Amino acid sequence: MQETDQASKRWYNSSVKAGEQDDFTLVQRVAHGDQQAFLTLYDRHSARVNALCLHMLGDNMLAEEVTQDTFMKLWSRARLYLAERGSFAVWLLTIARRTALDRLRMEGRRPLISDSNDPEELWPSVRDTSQDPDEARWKSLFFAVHALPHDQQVVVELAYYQGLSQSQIADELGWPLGTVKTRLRAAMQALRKQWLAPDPH
Amino acid sequence: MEDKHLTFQENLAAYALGALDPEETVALESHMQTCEACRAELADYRTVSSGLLAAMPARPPRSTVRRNLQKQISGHAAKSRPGFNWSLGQVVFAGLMVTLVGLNVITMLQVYNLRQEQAELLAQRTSEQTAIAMLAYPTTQSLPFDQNGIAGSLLVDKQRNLLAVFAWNLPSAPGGKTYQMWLIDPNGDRTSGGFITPEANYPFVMAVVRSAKPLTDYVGFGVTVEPAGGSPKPTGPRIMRVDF
Repeated sequence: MQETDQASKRWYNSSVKAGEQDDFTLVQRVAHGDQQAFLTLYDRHSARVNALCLHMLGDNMLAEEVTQDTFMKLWSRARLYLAERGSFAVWLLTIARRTALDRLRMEGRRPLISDSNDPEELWPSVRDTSQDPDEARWKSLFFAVHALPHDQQVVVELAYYQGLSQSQIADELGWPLGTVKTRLRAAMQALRKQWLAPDPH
Repeated sequence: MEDKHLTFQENLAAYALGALDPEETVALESHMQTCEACRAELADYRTVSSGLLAAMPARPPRSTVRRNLQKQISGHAAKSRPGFNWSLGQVVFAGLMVTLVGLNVITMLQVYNLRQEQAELLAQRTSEQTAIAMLAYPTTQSLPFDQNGIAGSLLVDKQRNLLAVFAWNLPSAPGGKTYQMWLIDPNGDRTSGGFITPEANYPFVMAVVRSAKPLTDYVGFGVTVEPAGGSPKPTGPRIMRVDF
């Protein structure tokens, strides 16, 4: 648990450089209608939000629409953010995920199954990770997901990024429910081990 | 017991990803209320699911998204600040509260008015009972009068310093005026005895005066027309006067 807390703290301070206001201060200003604070948060987090939306929806236009919807929700609900419940980035990305899932359900689209591209090609331009430890951790988790056996990757994709329950995944893939449960659990145990491993930096 | 725990433990990863089926979710949430080990393991899985939200290469949206947002928030800011954007539930709740407070105030006013009416009725009933009792008392002096078309009797009880007047055909006071009763002493000075107010649909009116000083200090009783609210001394025309 202690490691978990440290991981949360690391993420909580993400992307804030010397002289910049932290996310919590900015979101408080947004709650009072500060447009400049809102745009600062947008500049800081929009690439992450858009990446998640694109991953879930598989379409650039849709992803940008959902990114825009997510930030409008930030504008109207900033006062609901409580720092003690977790980092601002996680809060915002959780809103983005739910908004994207709503869009998937509204459009009744078939779930996307993870592609088999080389992860090194998908994340080729890693910035200097010594300057941004979170970037390194996310990249590490990204590779951990891609290192999972394909069957496990697929269940994680369908469960988390497509919003399917285990029963729905079993129906979708024609697998026994028990197999889905076993593969999902094995995948998460592997990712948990990777995520809670000591910081490489 | 341990088997059950293991079953729940196997569901924690799916729960952290939001993939547990509804019936299993209810059972697991109930189990976690008393299982510290499951709560701790779930916390670990949740940090993983939080990490998965960002575990992909960053992809900045096109600059049009930022411009669109700038336009939208400028419009919103002109209409209202986000800090004051109430949800529908909050608006309904606030509306209900205002309605309840309003109803409460109205109810309180009604209760106040009813109490006032009740007090007036009680005072009137007491006056009537006093007047009737005075009629039956052997020492009460009854003085008939018939002046300006107004006829009736003045009952005087000098032992109890009580005075009652029954007046028939007393018309309603003119607008903005009232009938004021006076006790008249031997020097002609007047002391207010209160008001006598005819009621619509009643041919007669009755009033009781309780004198603070002995009635023997006075020699007469009179009624004048005064401005609403009364006067310290008579200023208007006299309606009647009865000496006793």
